[in-house]
Amino acid sequence: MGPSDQQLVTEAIGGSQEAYRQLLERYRQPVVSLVYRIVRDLSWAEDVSQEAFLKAFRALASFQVERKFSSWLFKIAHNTAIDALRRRRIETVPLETADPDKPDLLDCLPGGDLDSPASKLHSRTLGIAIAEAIANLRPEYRSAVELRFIQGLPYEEIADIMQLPLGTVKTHLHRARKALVEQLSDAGWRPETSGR
Amino acid sequence: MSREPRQELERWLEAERHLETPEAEAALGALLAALPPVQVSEGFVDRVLGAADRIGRPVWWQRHAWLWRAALVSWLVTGFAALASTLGLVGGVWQSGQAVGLASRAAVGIGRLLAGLLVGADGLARASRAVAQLFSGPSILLFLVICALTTTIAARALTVVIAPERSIRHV
Repeated sequence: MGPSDQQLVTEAIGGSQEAYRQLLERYRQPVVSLVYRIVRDLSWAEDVSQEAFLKAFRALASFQVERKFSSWLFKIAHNTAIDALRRRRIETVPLETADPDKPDLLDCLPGGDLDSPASKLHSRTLGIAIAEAIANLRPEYRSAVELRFIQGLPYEEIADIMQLPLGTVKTHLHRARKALVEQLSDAGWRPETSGR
Repeated sequence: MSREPRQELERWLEAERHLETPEAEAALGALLAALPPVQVSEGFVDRVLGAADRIGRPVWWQRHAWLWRAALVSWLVTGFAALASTLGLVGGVWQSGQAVGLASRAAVGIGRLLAGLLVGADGLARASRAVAQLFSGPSILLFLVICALTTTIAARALTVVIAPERSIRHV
C-alpha cells in the first residue's frame, strides 16, 4: 500500500518530481481509458490524456488536498476529451479501418478458461460487439458507462465528474444500457434462455 | 471473474428484459470488467513529465505572486506620496537658502524610498511614517492613509485580475 493521493499531491505541490511520477503511474491507465472511451482512438487518447495531466499539474497549486484527487483528475480528463472531440469533430471510426499496426483495445480479448478455438473466437467476437456498441453511443453515454461500469464509481461521483445532476447521470446510464441491448440484439446477441 | 462472458451477457440481457436495474447493472459491470484494460504505451509517463518540465511547474515565488504584486503597488504608491510631498515644498515661496534644505530632504526621501524597496511591507510602513513625521501636518497623514487604502484595494484587485486560472475550462 503506497502513499495516499493526498500525500502525493502535497509532495507534488512542494515540487517533488517523484510524487508527480507516482501520480502519473497510478492514474495513467484510468485516465487514458476514460479518454479513449470518449475519443475512440488510442493514440489520440494518449495525446489528450497528456494534455489533461499537464492541465492538472498546472492547476495543482490551487487544488484543495482535502478533496478527492481522482474525481478532480477525472473531471479534467473528461472535459479535455470533450473539448478535443469538439475541436476535431471526429466521425465514428469504423473499427475495421483502425491502424492494424497500432495496438487496439480489441487486439486481445479474454478467453478466460476457454480452451477451444471456437470458444475463444466466440468471446473475441462478443468483445468486439460490446466495444463497437459502446463506441456507437453518444459521448456522454460513453463517459457514463466507462465511469460506472469500468471504473466502478458511484453515481454521485460520476455526477461531480461530468458536472451533471444525479438524475441526469442515472438517465444517461439507463438509456446507455437500453441502447447497448438494442445494438447487441441487432447484431444477433440475444438471450438464449427465455425465462428465469 | 467467475463466469464466462457469454454467461454474464445472458444474465445482463435477462435482467434488462425483466427490468431489474440493479441486477442488470451488476451483470453489465461484470461483463465490461471482463474486457481487457486499455494498454497505455511505454514511455507515456516520461513523455508527460518531459512536457511538464518544458512548460515549467510553478515555483514558490510564482505561487505567492500576489504578495510581490501587492508590494510593487505599495512601493509605487509610497514613492508617489513621497514625491508629492517634496513637490509640495517646491510649490511654496522659493528662496535660495532653501536649496540645500530641499536637496537634503529630497535625498532623505529618496533614501527612505530605496530602504522601503529593500526591506518589505513592514519596513515600508515605518519609512512612510518617518516621511510623514518629517513633513508633519494632518494633510500629509491623510494623504498617506489614502495611499494605504488604495494599495490594499489595488493589491486585491490585482490578485483577482492577474492571478492564474483557477477553474478548469469546461463544457
